[in-house]
Amino acid sequence: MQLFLQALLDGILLGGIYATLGLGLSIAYGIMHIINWAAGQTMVIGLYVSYLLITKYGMDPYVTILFTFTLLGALGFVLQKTMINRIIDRSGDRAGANVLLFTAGYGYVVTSVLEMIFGTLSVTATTRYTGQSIAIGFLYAPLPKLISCVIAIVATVLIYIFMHKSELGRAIRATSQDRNTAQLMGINAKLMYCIGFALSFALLGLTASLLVPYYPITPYIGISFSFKALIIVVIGGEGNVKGAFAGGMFIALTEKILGSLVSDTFAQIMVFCLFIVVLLVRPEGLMGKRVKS
Amino acid sequence: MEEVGQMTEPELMIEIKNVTKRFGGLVAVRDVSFQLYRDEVLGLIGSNGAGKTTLFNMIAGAFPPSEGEILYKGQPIQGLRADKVCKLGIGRTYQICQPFGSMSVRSNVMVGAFGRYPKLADATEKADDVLKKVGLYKRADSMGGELTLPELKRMEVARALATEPEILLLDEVIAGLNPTEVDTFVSLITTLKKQEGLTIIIIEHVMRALMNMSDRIVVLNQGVKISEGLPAEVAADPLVIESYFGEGDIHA
Amino acid sequence: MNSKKRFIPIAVLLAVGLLVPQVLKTEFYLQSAIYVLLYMYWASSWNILGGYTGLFALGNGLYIGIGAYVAAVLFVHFGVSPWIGMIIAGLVAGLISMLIGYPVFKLKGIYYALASIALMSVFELIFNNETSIFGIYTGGPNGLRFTMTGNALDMQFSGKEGYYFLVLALLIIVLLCSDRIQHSKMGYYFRGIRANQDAAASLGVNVLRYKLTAHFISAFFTAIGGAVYVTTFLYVNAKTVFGMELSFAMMLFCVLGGANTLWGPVIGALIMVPIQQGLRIAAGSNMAAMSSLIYGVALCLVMLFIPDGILGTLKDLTVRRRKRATDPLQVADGAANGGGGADD
Repeated sequence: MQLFLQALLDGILLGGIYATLGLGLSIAYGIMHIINWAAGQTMVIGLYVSYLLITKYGMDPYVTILFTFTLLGALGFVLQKTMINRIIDRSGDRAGANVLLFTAGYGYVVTSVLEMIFGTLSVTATTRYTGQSIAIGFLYAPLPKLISCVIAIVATVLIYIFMHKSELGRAIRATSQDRNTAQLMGINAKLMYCIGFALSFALLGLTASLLVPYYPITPYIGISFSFKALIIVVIGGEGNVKGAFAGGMFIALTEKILGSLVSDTFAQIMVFCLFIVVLLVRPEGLMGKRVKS
Repeated sequence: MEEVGQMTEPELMIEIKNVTKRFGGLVAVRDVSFQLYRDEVLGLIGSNGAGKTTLFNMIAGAFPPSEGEILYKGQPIQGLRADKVCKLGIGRTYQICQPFGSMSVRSNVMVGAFGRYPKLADATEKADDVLKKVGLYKRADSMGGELTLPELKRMEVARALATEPEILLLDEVIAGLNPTEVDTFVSLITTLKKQEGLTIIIIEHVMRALMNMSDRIVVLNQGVKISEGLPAEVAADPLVIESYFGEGDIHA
Repeated sequence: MNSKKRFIPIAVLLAVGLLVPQVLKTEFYLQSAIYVLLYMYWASSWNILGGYTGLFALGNGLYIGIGAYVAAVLFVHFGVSPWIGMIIAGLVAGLISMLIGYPVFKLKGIYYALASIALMSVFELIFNNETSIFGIYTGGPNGLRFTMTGNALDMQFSGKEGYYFLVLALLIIVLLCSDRIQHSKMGYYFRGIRANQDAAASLGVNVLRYKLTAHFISAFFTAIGGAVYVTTFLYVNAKTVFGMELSFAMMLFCVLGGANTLWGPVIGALIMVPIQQGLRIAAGSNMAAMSSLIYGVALCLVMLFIPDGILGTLKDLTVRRRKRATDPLQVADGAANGGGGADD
């Protein structure tokens, strides 16, 4: 029983991170209906940036959020403005496939550049939070995971408020629902795309800073995070905040609970199978609206 | 053997029986019934959202009706897959042209031709034949995506013709053409109908052309049939006049 | 239209292919040549599904793995020669592809891509972690080694030449098949589905059936390639055959050269594989990173500037040039300048 409750707690702690990871992907997909195949690799950039700030300047990992958020946000903005918008314009109805492939290529570039700079060995940041945990009854929660989860949930709520209550957020959502009408209403669709993509990258940066206190970093972990992000978004429900949150929590809990009951590998396989089942049976995800053909 | 001068019962090709279609809470077509007889041109008119294209989609197999039946020569075809409907002999065009943009015009038509002519040489010959009939043979090697609007419309018709249908569903084939192009197209359709022995249901906004082409007309308004009969009768029907008043649909 | 003339390039390829081992004598070069041909073969197999029919199968590497393991298991445990084993592997892969395809083809394009990758990952996880599947030993993370018999009947040749000619033969076969498809009802239907599924259906195309057919053919050939691949090394390992690298490379080379053309995949592989092999000599320890970098940059550049691939873009330019030649305004100009354009 204790094992189960511990797994439950671990799952919730992980779920917050998965939620922001999923958000990073979900916003871009929800706005532009294109998939960033390299969300994970982008996050790994954030991991290294954060790691450097911590080890070279002794920065608190949660302060690095400011840097990873803005740096990656800027990268996303530039990428969208200079390259992705161009591909969308030129591709007509093949835009989705072409952008997907482009981001896949970009993912490879990121991974190899990181490998050339940082080598292949794994590094982990040591911070003042490392090794500490808080006891909750007979359960324990590692301190960095706890703080990260709290920040992640706060961030998710803030994003939700931004998207639904702020004028800019609503403009972004209007563009995603009906680009032409939004433009008729004076919204600069291309700019919205840039902001949306920037925001999604920024969230990936945030996620990186939240992971860095306890996660071992190599240039290669990007791919599995990318795929995980996709699974989160699909299972949760594409393109919205609630979906990313639901998906993130659901996957994290499944992983941790099945992992402690059977094995981690089994949990992984189950998550993939769940993914396939959801694709076949309910492609709009847990939170999505049923799409009529 | 019929004697000369004896009237024979016109063959019932399609029967729409109490067809209703709902999309969620929206009722696009409500309890519509009418018939289509061999060799006639049936005009289907109504303002936007009247349910005309939805009816076409149901006949052609894009989706099934929520209620009601669609009979083709007495057999129910509602809910049949689109390709099966085509094989039975019902061809259609789309309101917004749907060319295979990355394929040549000839290849576009060949996709239709292969249905009855599985061999490459035969399909090519059939396609060229059809292209000549619609006057697109000169453009046979151009890419589908390069054509002008009138040419695209012709290609839509050509593609459907290549499947050798008995019935042709024409969805706003004339929309977007200038008056000269309209006249050309109308005479093309009339010629083709005679040549190929087609029965046609045609949706149009261009009233003048529709009145000229159609043997009978069915009028829809917001999913409901409000009038049916000869063009002159329908034009004089007060219900029809009322629903079109102020619509600006009467296009000279 | 083109009838016999269009087989000339294939004949040329065959001739050149037969001559190559006379020129490249080193084991390394010959092995590289085998890789080039094999990737040409795989990219062409992918092309049938992803290029002609437009179904973006990012996880077709699944069938490389299936082909590899079926052939391996049949040989190691049941003594079935890989000559037969590869055909069986192809059929098994084809069957699985239809089982997968049936529910998945109802999904939107991108979901299909995701589902195929998810499946590939599942297989990789299972084969990598379990040492036995259904009671048959498959080696788990250590992989499965082939018994050395040195017998050509077991597809084990003494030098590299044997494998070279085998892969060359496979490539010619898949190209001939691909060409046959292009010039048949099936090919036109495939391309119609790629261009506009609903319009194709309204013209009598049974879309689901043809998608499944494309999937089967592609899976069949891909799996045979997988079987031959592991026979060349006498060793099969889950991380390689179910891994993203092979799967991705197949697709990348095809897209780079020009999907939806017969020679696009060949050209794509012809350009990229020697680069990768060259890096193996030059970059040493950095090789993996360099080749990934080149793959990534190539893909980005293609998507930015020539999304139809090399051949696809060339075709576009030819069409545009011909269009300008028949444009009445241009023709008038041309006539004034003493020469007209071609008449259509």
